[in-house]
Amino acid sequence: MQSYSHKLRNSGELMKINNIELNQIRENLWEIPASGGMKVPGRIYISQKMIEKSSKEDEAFKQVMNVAHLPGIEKYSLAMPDIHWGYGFPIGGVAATNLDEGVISPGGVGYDINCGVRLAATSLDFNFVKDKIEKLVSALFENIPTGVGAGGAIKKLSINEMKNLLQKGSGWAIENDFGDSSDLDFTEENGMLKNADAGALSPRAIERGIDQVGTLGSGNHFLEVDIVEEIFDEKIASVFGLFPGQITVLIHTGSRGLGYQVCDDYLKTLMKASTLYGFSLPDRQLACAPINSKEGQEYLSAMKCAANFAWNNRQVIMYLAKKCFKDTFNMTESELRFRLVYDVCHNIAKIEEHNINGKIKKVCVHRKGATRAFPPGSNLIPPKYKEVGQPVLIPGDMGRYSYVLTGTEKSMHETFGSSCHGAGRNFSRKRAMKEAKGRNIIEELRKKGIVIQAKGFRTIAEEMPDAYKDVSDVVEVMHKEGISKKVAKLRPIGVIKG
Amino acid sequence: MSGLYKFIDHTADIAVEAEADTLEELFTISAQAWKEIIFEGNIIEAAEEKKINITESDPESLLVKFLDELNFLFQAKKWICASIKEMEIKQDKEWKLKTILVGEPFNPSRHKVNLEIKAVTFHQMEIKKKNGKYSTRIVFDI
Repeated sequence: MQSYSHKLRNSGELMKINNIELNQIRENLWEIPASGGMKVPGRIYISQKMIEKSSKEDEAFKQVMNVAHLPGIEKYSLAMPDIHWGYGFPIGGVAATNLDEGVISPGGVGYDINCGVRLAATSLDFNFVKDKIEKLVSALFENIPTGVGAGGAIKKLSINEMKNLLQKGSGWAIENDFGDSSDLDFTEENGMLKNADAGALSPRAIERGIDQVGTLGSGNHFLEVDIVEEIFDEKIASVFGLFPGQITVLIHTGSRGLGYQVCDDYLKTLMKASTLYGFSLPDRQLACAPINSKEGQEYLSAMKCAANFAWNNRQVIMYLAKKCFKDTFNMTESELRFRLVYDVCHNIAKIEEHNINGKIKKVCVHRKGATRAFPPGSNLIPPKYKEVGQPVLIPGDMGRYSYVLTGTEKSMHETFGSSCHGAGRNFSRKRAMKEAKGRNIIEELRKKGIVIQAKGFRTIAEEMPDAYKDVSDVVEVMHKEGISKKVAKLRPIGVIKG
Repeated sequence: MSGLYKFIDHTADIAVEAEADTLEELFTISAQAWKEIIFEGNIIEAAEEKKINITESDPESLLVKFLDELNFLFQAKKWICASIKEMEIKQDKEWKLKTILVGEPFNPSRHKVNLEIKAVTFHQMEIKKKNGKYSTRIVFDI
C-alpha cells in the first residue's frame, strides 16, 4: 500500500504518493516536476478522489516520470485520467518527440497496435429491437469469429494478398466488398497509414495474422449493441447522427496476433538499438530508437502495417455485424441505414503537426491508451464533422455505459490533441475469478437488460463490470478540464466477447 | 518434478511465480503455467513430438523466447504443447536450450480455448538462484 500526505500550497494541493510529488495546477491537473534524468515535467489529468482511490497507480505515476527521460520529448510527459500501469509507458500515456533527436518507442504504443473503437449507427430504436435482442446477439456470436482458434471470417489469404491488405488498410475491405467507400471518410487516417512496408515485418508476424482477418480476439475486446441513453449536446449529437433511444454498435478490437508480434519483435530490436545509441533508460520496456534511424523507421513501418491490419479488421467486423442486423430484422440497407459514425485508434504513434512553444513543428505523438481528439476546424477530420470536432469514442465496462465525446481546441494546446480512452481495470483477473465464484454473471447482466455471449469460460468472469472503474469518472475529468466535451452516453443491451 | 508455480495478482494481466531445483524444471513448469492459462479444463494428448532449439544471450531472454515459441506454435501452427519430454539448458558463450515437446494439433471441436496470450513480457522477469533453487516471475500480456 502506498502512503499519502497532503498539504496546502498557494495555488492548490500538494500530494505525495510513494515519494512522488504531485503539484495541483488546476482542479483535475497535477504536475510532477522534472527531476533526475527527466527532460520535461510530467502532467496528469486526474481528480484528487481518483488519486486517493488508486492502488497500483503509484507505479503508473513513476512510469509518467520514466517516459519524461525519452530523448527529444517535448513539453510534458502526459497521462489521461484512465492512467494505469502498462509495459514501459503507462496506459493513458501521451508523449510527443521531435523529429530531430527524438525517439520512437514500441512501449509508447503497446502490444495491441491500433487497438481501437468504431461506432456504427442504425435507424432503429430500442422499441423496435427489444424482443429480438437474444436472436441478434446469437447471430452476431455465430457470424463474427471471436476467440483464439476461431479462423478468420474470410478464408486464409495468400502472402501477397496479405501484403496488399497491410498496405491498404480498410481500403482492402472496401475493394473486397466488406463495406462502402464512404466508410473510409469516417475512419481516422481514412483507415490507412501511408508507406506501410510489409518488408519490415517478420515472417512470424505475417503468419500470426494471416488467418485472423475479421476476428474479434479475447480479453477486453468486444462487440456491443448499445442504446443511446443520454444526449449531452443535441447539436453535436445530431451532426454525428445520434438520437435518444437509437440502436448503435460499438466494436473494440485491434491488430490481433500480427500487432502483438510486431511489438514483440521490435522491443527486442530496439533494446539493442537503445544500447547502441547510448540511451540511458529507467526501464528496458521503454526501448527506443531515433525516429530517423534505420531501426526507428523500420519499427514505424511495421507499426503502420499493424495499424492498417487493425482498421481493416474493424471494417470487416462492422460489415459482418451489418449483415446480422439485416438478416435478424429482415431489412434492406436503406431501411436499416447502418453507417459508420467514426473509428479511432487507442494505441498508436503518428507524425503530426503541433504547436511547440509557439512554433508549428512535426512531432511523433505516442498515444498508448489515449484517443486522438481533434477540434472543430481541423483538416484531418471528416468534412461533415468539421464544425463540431472529431468524435472521441470511450468504451466503459460491459455492464454500465460508454461515451461519445468530441475534440476541443484546448486539447491541441495541452495534450497534443489527445483524450482518454476507457475505464481501466479496478482489480485483477485473479480477483475477478474469485469474486465471480458462486455468482451467475450472465444472469446478473440479463437482469440489467444485457444479453451476453462469450467463447472463453473465464472471459465473462474476468471482464465482469465490477472489475472495471467507473468510466464516467474518467470522462468527467476530460469534460471539466475542457480537453473534450461530452456528447452522448450509450448503454449496452447485447455483448459478444472472445 | 520438484517445481511449483502459482498465479499472483496483477491488475491488467496474468502473472506467475515459479520455483524449481533446476533451470530445466523452471522452464518446464513455466510451460505448464502457460498451458493452464489457455487450456485449463482441456485434455491435451501427447500424440506428437516437436524438437526446438533456442539460443539467446541471457537466461531471461531464453525463457521468454521459449514461451513465445509455445504461443506461436499454438496461434500460428495450431499445435498445442501438452508437456515437455526432454529439456537441456547449457551455457557456453551463449545460453542454449534443446527440448522435445509433446502435444497434438489444435482441434476446435474438442479443445476449448479459455483466453489468448498476446505476449510474454520481460516485465519484472529475473531468474534468481537462491539456496540452490531457481525462481522467476513471468507476466503474460492478455
